[in-house]
Amino acid sequence: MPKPELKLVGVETQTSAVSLKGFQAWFGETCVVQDMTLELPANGVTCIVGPSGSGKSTLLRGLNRINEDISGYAMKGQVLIQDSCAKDGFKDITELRAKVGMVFQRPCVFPCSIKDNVLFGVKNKRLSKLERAALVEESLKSAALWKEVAHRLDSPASTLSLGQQQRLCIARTLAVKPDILLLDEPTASVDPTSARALETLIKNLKDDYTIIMVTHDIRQTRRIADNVLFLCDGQVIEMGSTDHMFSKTAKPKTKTYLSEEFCDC
Amino acid sequence: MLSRTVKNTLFASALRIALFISLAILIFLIGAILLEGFKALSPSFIVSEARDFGAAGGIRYQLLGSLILIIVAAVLVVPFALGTALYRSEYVTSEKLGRCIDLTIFSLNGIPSITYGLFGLIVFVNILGMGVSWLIGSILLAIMILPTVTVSTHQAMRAIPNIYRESALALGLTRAEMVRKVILPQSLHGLVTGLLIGLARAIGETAPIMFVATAFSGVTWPQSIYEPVSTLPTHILALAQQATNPDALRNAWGASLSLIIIVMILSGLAFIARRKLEPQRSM
Repeated sequence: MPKPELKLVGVETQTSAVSLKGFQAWFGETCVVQDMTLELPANGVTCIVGPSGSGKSTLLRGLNRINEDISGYAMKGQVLIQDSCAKDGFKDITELRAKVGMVFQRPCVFPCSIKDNVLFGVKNKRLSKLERAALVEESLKSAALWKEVAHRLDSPASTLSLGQQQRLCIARTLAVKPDILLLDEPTASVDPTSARALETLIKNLKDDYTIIMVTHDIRQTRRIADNVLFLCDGQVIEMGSTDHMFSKTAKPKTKTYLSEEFCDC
Repeated sequence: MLSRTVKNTLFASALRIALFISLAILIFLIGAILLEGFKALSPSFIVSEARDFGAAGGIRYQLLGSLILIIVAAVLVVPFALGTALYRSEYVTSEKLGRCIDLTIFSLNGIPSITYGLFGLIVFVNILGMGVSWLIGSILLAIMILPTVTVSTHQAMRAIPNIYRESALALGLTRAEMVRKVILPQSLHGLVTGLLIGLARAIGETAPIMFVATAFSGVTWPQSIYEPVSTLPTHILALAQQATNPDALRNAWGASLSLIIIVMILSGLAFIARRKLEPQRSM
């Protein structure tokens, strides 16, 4: 019997950016995401939290179908991105991925210049040199990196610090003009100062983009999330506004986990 | 019971002895060729034509013949090695098929070079009736070095962390675009290094080309693809058969030294290519 759709608790009805209908995911015989039906709101930051192995990253990676290149991966159900089915609602998978950008845990800059990294995913060959330069500037400004690299756009991207590299990865994703940003533990590999800079950046981007972020950092979730989705053992335990999840929840599992106490899901 | 320090000293000494013996053999071999080869080697030896079945004159056409064979072999092997490595690295999802391809490539590498010669003789000369042709020699050398180039390229591709592939695909690039923009530039060093090492091996081979692509004397610049060439290894073989003639033997040493210099240049270039072309990744 299909599970009822989960709605956000503690917030007014919002437009949904992502809807899941009976979404399930497997690696081989192991079901890592079990029958999820929910809606994630447009704009703002939705943090997906939960213990290791709870299916957070698998869920996130199911949204832009990046897991489909992994041998043994299989999914069921429906993922709707702004009401278009992720499987067949887009011209092809590349259009979906351009719409749903993704930044990974470890900053991954390509072995080329900062400028070329920003333009790496830009396919429009008709852009003039000036238009390309403007796009580089706009993307780097949006990623709060412009001031630090404006004088050395042709330098190798590998010369940047890890925090800067992660912001460059965000700039590269923004250059493709996505509507949704998937962030898979984007601050996990950087130092606390860079992590704070990334948090500020994420907060600044949330008005223009729908940000769905996986994190293990509960305090970070409290600082930047508008909504929280708590998973355990591949199931949604609770979903609601940050205020509701941290202060008003009645569910003991949510309370225990978000208070950073031991949680035996 | 021996103390740890004594055991360490004994182990280090054994390693030093192994290194010394290996180096001594190499130095002796190269030293002998240098010593004898320099007696014959001169600019005129390089540019002049062989006379008296090689006992007089130089190695002009043998050098050119060897270069033609390996240059054409290089042109022929690159698309196949690159295609095989790319397919194995990026498109094979079944582990069974992957292992099957690996086994085939490694087996190909283990085939004795004379077998390639025999294969060329039966297929190209006897069955297809192409006669003795330098192009067949290049094809056989290309087949012979295919595993070396493929494995080197594939290893360079495998060394690319998967996050690079995912990052490119997540930007909306197609698989073909990802291959062109991520995989090829980051595995170029493997292709070039494998190719140069393969060519360094190919230029010294006699057996695969002996029956199908070369003539031992009287050959100059080929006028068509259906003509044989003379090469350095076959020239050395022919001269070594005249060991009682000191002039022929001197020229054999000279030709050997020339061959070793080319091999060393190719190996040196492979070393430089690996260092210069290897991408500076951040992870």
